[in-house]
Amino acid sequence: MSEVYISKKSFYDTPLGDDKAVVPEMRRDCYAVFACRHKFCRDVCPVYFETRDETTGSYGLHTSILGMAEGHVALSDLQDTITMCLECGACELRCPNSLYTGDFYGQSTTLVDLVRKVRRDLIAQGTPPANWDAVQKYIDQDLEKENGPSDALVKWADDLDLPNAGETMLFVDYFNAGQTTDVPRNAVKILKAAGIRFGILDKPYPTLGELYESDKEKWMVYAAQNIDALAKAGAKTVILVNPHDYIFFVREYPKYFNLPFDVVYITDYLLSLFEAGKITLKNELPINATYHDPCSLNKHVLNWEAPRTLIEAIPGISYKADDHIRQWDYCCGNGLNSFKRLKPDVSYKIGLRRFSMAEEVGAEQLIVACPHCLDQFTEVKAKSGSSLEPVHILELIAKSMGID
Amino acid sequence: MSENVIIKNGHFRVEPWRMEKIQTQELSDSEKERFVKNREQWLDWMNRHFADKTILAPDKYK
Repeated sequence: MSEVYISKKSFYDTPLGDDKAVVPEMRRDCYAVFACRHKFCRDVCPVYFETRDETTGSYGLHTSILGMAEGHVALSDLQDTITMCLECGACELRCPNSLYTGDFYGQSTTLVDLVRKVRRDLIAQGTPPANWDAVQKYIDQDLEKENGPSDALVKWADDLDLPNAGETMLFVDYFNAGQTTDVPRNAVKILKAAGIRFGILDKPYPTLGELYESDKEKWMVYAAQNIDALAKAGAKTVILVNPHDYIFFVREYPKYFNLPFDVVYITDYLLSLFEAGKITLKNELPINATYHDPCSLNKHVLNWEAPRTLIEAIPGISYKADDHIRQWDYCCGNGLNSFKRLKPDVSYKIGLRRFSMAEEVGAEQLIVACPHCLDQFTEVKAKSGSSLEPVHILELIAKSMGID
Repeated sequence: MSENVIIKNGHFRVEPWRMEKIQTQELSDSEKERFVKNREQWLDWMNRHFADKTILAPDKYK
């Protein structure tokens, strides 16, 4: 089965609240971060880099919760602070608690889980994070799609003649199915050209991260429905085209369910096809490009090699990119879940900074492997008037294969 | 502490009972493998970029 990266602290299940005591395990965990004087987590936090707000990031949030345990602040005082996290995972990677002492002392910093937990607890006690209305509206729109006609969810594949069952299934989420339809369409065309037989679900269920950090129980119901539907379709391998969903499938779903199939991200799958000679990148693409690692792949599951290998194999491409470690400091600004809607101004600044870094290396195109990065960079380009062109890796692969 | 360091699944680890102030957490083997992979990548990166030079303080601190 799939390689899984699971971090789960059982004391996160105990709710925080204005009238609730912080459990000793949580206090101790927060103290471990507070007592650390390195503050490496700040060095890599794109939000701290833009705001210089010391309440942000791993150190800020853990310290705030320690303050709650000591009676200095209440949970509702965190309504603003809790919005200032992209959930990109950079701080977790860079934290000495994990990086150097993790396997030695058995310590791990799990800020992303903590941010999701605190947002849930704030919503549960009726004091949601600041600007949460914008996020709730987005969640409601997504859930309306689930209640609506299922045809709308697979309309992107109307003319592609795909079965609804098979040992290999392509899972296409609501974002790709509704907003960035070129991404799954290119994936389908590439897989067909490589001779792969696969299907799609006739009705996928929501995988929305915003729902996960507001109503976990409802999110888990949909997760179970997705797993059940894929299992009933006969899936032995499930290919994902959205890295946000991919990390849910490999890091979150296994916390609650047994997955009866392997999960693979599209770039890894395409690399295996390329290495097996089933994909030929023949057309020259004389472009000057750099690559942006999606946080979900690079930071959450340390997956960065496949996209680079594929890009470098495209004939004629002039490719200049920062290595994956340097990109721990970056984010497109979208964040994993609700950040862009909670902090649109900071989100834009982070995107703009990433754009300027790409421009510094002389790139004309910024290659991405994530539909949310593509969406964010398209918006940054439109707002800033930059000549840098964001492009999805699947589009380049399809072009190089000679697929229209 | 060194006499109490143990090796578990190929990695050095302090015996949990020695951790009195900050207790050992429950970590899955896959999570530990992630730490090790992460650390090796980070140290390789540091070596590639900084092992062959001495970083001096900025002029204003000299």
